[in-house]
Amino acid sequence: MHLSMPTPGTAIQQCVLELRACLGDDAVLTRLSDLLAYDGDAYPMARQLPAAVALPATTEQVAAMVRICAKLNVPFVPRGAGTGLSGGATAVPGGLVISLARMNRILEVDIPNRRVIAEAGCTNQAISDAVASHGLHYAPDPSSQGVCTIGGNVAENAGGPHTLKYGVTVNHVTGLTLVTPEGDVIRLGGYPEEPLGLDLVGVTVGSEGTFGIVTEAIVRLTPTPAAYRTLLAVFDDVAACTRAVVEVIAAGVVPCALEMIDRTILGAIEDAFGFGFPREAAAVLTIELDGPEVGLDEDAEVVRGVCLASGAREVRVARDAADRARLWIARKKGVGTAGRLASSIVTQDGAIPRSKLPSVLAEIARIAERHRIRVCNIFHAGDGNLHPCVLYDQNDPDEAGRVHRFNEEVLALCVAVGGTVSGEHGVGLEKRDAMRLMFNPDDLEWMSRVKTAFDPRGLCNPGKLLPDVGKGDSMEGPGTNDETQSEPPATSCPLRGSATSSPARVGQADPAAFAICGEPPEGVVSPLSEADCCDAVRDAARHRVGLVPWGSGTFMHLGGPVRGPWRVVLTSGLFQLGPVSPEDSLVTCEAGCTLAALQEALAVHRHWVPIDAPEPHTTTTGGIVAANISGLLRSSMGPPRDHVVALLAVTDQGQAVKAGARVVKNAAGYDMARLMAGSMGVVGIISEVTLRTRPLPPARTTLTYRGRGQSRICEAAWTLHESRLPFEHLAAQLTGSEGCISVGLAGNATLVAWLHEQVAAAMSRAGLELDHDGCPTDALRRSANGLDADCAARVCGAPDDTFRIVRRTLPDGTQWTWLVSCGLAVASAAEGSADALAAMLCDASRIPPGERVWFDWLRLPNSRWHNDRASRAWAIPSHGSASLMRRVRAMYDSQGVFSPGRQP
Amino acid sequence: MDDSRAVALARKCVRCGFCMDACPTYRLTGVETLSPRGRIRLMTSAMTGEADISADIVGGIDLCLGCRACETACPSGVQYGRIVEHFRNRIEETGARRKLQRDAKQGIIGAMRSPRLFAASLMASRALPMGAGGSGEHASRAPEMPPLVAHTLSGSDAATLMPDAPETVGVGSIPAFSPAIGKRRFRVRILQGCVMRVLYHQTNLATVRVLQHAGCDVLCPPDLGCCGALDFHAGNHASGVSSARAALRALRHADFDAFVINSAGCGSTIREYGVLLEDDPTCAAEAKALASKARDVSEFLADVGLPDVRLSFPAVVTYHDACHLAHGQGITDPPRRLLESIEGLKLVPLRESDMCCGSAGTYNLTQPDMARRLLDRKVSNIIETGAQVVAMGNPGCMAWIARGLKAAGSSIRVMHTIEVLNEAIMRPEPTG
Repeated sequence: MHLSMPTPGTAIQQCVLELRACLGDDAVLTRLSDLLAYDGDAYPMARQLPAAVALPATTEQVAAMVRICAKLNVPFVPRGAGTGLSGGATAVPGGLVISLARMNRILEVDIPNRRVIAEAGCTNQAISDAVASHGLHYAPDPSSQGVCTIGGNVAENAGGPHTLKYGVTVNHVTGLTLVTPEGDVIRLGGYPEEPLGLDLVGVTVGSEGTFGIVTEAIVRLTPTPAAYRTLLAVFDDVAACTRAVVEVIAAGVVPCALEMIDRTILGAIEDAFGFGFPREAAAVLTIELDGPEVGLDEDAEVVRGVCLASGAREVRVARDAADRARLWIARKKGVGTAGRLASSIVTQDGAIPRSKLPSVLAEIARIAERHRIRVCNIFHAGDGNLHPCVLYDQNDPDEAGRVHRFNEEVLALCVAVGGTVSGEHGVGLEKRDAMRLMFNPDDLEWMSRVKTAFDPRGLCNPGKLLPDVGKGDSMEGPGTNDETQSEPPATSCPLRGSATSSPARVGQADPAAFAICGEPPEGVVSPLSEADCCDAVRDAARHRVGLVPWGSGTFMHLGGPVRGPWRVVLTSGLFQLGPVSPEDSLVTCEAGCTLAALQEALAVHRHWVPIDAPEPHTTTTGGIVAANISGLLRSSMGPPRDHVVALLAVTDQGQAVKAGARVVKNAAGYDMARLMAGSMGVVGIISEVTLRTRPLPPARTTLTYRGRGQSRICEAAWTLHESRLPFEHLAAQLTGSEGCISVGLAGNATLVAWLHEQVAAAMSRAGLELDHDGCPTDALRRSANGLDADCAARVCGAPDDTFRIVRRTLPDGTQWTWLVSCGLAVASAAEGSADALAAMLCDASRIPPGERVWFDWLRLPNSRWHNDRASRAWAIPSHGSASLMRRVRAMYDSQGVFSPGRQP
Repeated sequence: MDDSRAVALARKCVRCGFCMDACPTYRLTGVETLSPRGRIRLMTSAMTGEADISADIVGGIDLCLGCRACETACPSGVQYGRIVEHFRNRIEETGARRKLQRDAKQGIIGAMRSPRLFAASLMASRALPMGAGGSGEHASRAPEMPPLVAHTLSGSDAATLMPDAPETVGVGSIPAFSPAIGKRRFRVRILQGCVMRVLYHQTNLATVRVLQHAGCDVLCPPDLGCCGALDFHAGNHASGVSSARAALRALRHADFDAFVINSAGCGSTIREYGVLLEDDPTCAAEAKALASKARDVSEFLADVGLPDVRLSFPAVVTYHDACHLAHGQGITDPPRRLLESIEGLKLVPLRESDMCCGSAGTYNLTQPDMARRLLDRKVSNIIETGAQVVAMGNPGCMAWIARGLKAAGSSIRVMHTIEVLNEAIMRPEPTG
């Protein structure tokens, strides 16, 4: 085949002319020799030459370019370093590729706030390098981190080995600058960890460049651990190796990475680097533990014992930093070394419940044998994120065809055991059709609406992520699919709960007990099943009344009054607990199940969900997720939205849909669970949730210190935060004259004892006294959510910004409850001090420059200052995300049934 | 090597992209066509007939420094250097380049290959009117090549900065035999180098002295000419091979423990003799044997040590990794270990130490614009360290970086690692 330039249509020709005028000649490439390098990414099975490549240098240039494309109807594809593994950056015929490679500056390094603002083309590694001397790093670490860009990481919600403990990209990005497909520049999120309104940052991360072009990202930095223990467990048997993975996690230790490498790859790594790894072993596990030096040896010993008991031949421990570096070079460059074994490699990315590893790996080997395909394995075993790496020759059509069939069968297998088609590489072009294995047409239609909200004309990276709708009659949901499986998988059931409809109880409860802002609903619906919820939505739409989902009602003061007539959907009838699967680190329950019931069921298995919302005996899981309510654990464990992996919801059409999958790591499609979390019932009604669990720490204690003087308490709390010790929580309560600090410690006994000493010493230096009775954590949790005060407001900032606010003088009668490490602080006051509180908050909003803090909710005795004085100071920042948020909301609530008038 | 073998080598690339950030031209331009992965795509399509060897493709390959940083980064073990050298040879064969430019480039390489001619042309060039010399305060310090010559070589109008050269140049010569000082431990053969002996004769003398102190008998009979590195790197495979054959002939009957080389470019090529001459049955075995004896001087000394010498050099020093040392030979640690072993010497890290300085053989003359941008970047990284001395192991880098530092008005000294050691050698403490 002789390549030639794609015949340029007039639109693209005109587009190139205008782009040249706008960007200059050297930033627009159209010669064949230049375009060849852009005909694909690291996914070998798709190739497409773009019509042109543009290399903008600023956000303004990107916006100007996108406006030109929009005007001329030219599709465009954003591109980072082209290291994606699912074809997400593949060009569109006749379209433009927009490369962000020249936008690679780090714009701001803010050490006290632990934030970096970087342009999209900046490499992942460059961010960590820029802050390494401060003992901080950017936690997600994909193997390609030396090359891949932060913009690409955001697009794919990139993971990496250490995400087992630290989470994926979405857990570390707090703000984005997005050029919308219409060419507007908008800012989503910002410095604070908690978004204002719908989590548009969270849903844009992982959108595979289909929502617009991310040009800047604000990322959160993580303290670099003081010490590591890196172990290499050597196995003569793959099955024993996978069993060890399950056992290590079950032992209650939380490794920061748990990776498996099989014999084939081990040989290639040895050929490449000659590190002296046991190339005759069937498989090895790389297991890393991190944290303060103290207590690490105990954990390492536990891991060693578990591996040996599971059949490891030997367990080596890295002796020094160089030794550790070798293990990580082997892991991170491992896939690349497969290039020594074949001319083409394609890496699969399904993720499965961890306990299914032994059977699934064996089955993959059988499928490979059947298709005469060579496969090797190097993957994130701890997450159950498989990476079967297929060795083949792309130039051999027969073999390429067999690889295709192999891939399809492996993905079907992953879904059949309850997993996902992509753990971290994204759907791209590669797995578009496989999305149908996981989601039925209703699920996909629901998912596609968010794309329509962001990109109504479909010009931005078209043809990726979502399967073509109406293509043939192959749109079959998991329901029909299950029947064709010889073994109906038990774990795929909970996400499709009871399908039988029972008559919903209407009007049995007293509407007066469900008033919001003094206004009662016209009725109360009490569904007993998901089907009842669907009926309730259809009925409400028919009668043109609003619906407000209601768990325990603890947090209904958030969100404001309802507009027009409305009904309550009471979820307390949906209280079933689904499968409790500590071996997979997962638990499923219906929306009305209380937090306490959930924790009790998990405690039997020595597991828990790291969420400590107040009032656990009444607060429902659905309510916690819908309102994203956290307690003191917010700072170390993240908000509830970080723990939701899947949910079932009812749409505005009264259809039951599924979001996410029952696995701990998932990158298949838009993250609808994240859009639902914190949406306050304006996107849909949650009927069931699946959360990620953790092993309970072996030892745990809470220390409380009391002292006088607001500034002394503030400084002492900040000192503890800056010590970077791994506290389970760190909260302070401040009044004008006195206050207290509460510190949660967890881990193995040695670590907890040592942390105790460190905290005691620091508090004694600060002049604070231990006080067992002061500051009970229950009360702190309540005040951190503004529950015990007449009026309250929450400030969201980055840690240092919030510190600067809370240490200012407090008016009489007001109080701060401050979650130090995550920059959240709740100001509260009795009704009589409401004006003083309002004045203080108005003042506070000006302390950090720009729009770096916001007030995400208010609890008020009356609506007066909500509407005039305060709302001006606390309005949603004017950077354009508000209109986008309205568009998303309208897209998911075409009939205006979901909590009309209320704010997320 | 023919096209089909080169394509087979290129097919080892799985397009993972790990090489891109290691590539200086990609880092500076952000254009993937100017990255190793992009160039492999270009070369493969040209060699498989997918695309013609057009001027556009030649331009993209010409901009490659041949620094081989991509090989260090590549997990698949793609031998990028071999592919690009083959393809450059193909470009010259197909006549895709203008004859005048080709002749000018060959002329420069020819002159550098012959020390006498090189020295003479350097002296003669001083009589020529130099270019404007940049602008601003450093104007007089930055001599440029006459525009006509520069344009012929580079095909562009960009000003061509001349590498630095000492005041007096000539063809240096070192004794055929220098005995070990102290206990005799080894017998080594050294290479004077075409460029080294003209520009850096002092470094050659220092090399001999340091090796003597390390207990080596140092052999340097005058019968050894060019090793062929300049030609191989430029894609002149045939003349490279004839130089290499001549070198093998000259060393055929010599007896030594190691062939010690102080020029990274030469060392890298000699170590590849086995592969470069594998098609020649008359000398393939010999080539392999010699390659296995070749050692960079820093690597050799770091191994055998200087047990009887006290080293002292009180200064802050930083180290630049020459491409053909770090990427061509994988040597990064030994020179640093040697420097750190010196009393009073404080070794400070250099940002992007293994990124090419832009010298790259004749690259600074044929691609003056990119070379200048890389030099500026290297110089500001060096100045940022606050070091008094920047050490390195390759003459091309030394001349180029010295020019850049002078142009920037910096007084940081450019030294070969071996010169630092030479100056650090103190007389043994008198005993008794």
